[in-house]
Amino acid sequence: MQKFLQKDQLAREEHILYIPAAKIFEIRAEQDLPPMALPTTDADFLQSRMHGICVGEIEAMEGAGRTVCDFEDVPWEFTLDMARQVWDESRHTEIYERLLRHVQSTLGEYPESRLLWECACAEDPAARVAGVNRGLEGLACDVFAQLVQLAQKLGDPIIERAVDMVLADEITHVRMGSTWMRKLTEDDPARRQMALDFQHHIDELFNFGGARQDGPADQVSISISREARKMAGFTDEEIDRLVKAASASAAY
Amino acid sequence: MTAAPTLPVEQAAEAHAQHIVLGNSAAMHQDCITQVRQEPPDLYTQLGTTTFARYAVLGHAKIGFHHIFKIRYFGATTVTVHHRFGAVEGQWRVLESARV
Repeated sequence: MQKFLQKDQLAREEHILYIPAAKIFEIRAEQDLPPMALPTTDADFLQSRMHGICVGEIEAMEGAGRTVCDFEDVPWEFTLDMARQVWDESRHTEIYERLLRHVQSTLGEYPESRLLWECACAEDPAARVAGVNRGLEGLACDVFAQLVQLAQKLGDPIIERAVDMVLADEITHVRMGSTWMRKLTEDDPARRQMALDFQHHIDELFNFGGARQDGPADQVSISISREARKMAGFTDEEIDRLVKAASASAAY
Repeated sequence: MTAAPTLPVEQAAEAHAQHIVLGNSAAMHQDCITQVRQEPPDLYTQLGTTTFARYAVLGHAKIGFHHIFKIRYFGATTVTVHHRFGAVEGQWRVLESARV
């Protein structure tokens, strides 16, 4: 079986439009819209955000599956954890596909950027879990906690409870990633640093040029969730570092 | 890009695809803004010189107020294009077309 698939090798139904993130940002800028949808600028914010998460879950499922396939020279328990994550992400995909219908949207109504998949392509398993489980699943903690708060404001218990349940899984994925990043890099500080550098690169990428901020859920594109991140095992120092990096990130 | 068009964007996309299949170059260009972005840069010249038997709208996605249609043209060669439509002076116009 081929290892290390590229983004253009992902199988998709024909009605899904793949458009790179940079192009999507460019098209939004042409319309004087911020790079990512905001509750204050986009009437279809909820649909658009739900869609982004749904395709993100598909890519996360594929990413964890490829991690099972790509790395043979790893502890069996690592492979088992990644297989478990595939199962979690497939459930999340189903949940979000139903939530999309709940908000009168459907898969394919917005383009897929595959940015998340690109981040799942590290060639070292320690970097892969640092980037995916700590970087991307950390992002999921922010996005989902924000969505729970918005659902509470909207008085929508279906979204609130469904997303809260998925958030609980994401927290375990971050913890799993932290455990494996440390275990795989035991006695190899240089490798650990490379894995952390990769995660920081992912964090920077997903600051979306200033879109992720330490701000109120209904006013910023992505609100950094200290509470969810702390539950996931991020230290105060790590969260402060992310907030600092996000605020320093070049604005579009 | 001011008034909202009365024609549904899906109809505008179908009309544009029909013009391409019919090889109606004048109508094809009328559907587009003057400075329509093309990838490759001579896409419409290529489309105008190719004979297509039919087309199929495969997908339709939104980015802000713009609509992108994924349309496949079947003929001697099969071509898939993303056409991006935006509202210009009360009409849906092709802002960009890219072969994918």
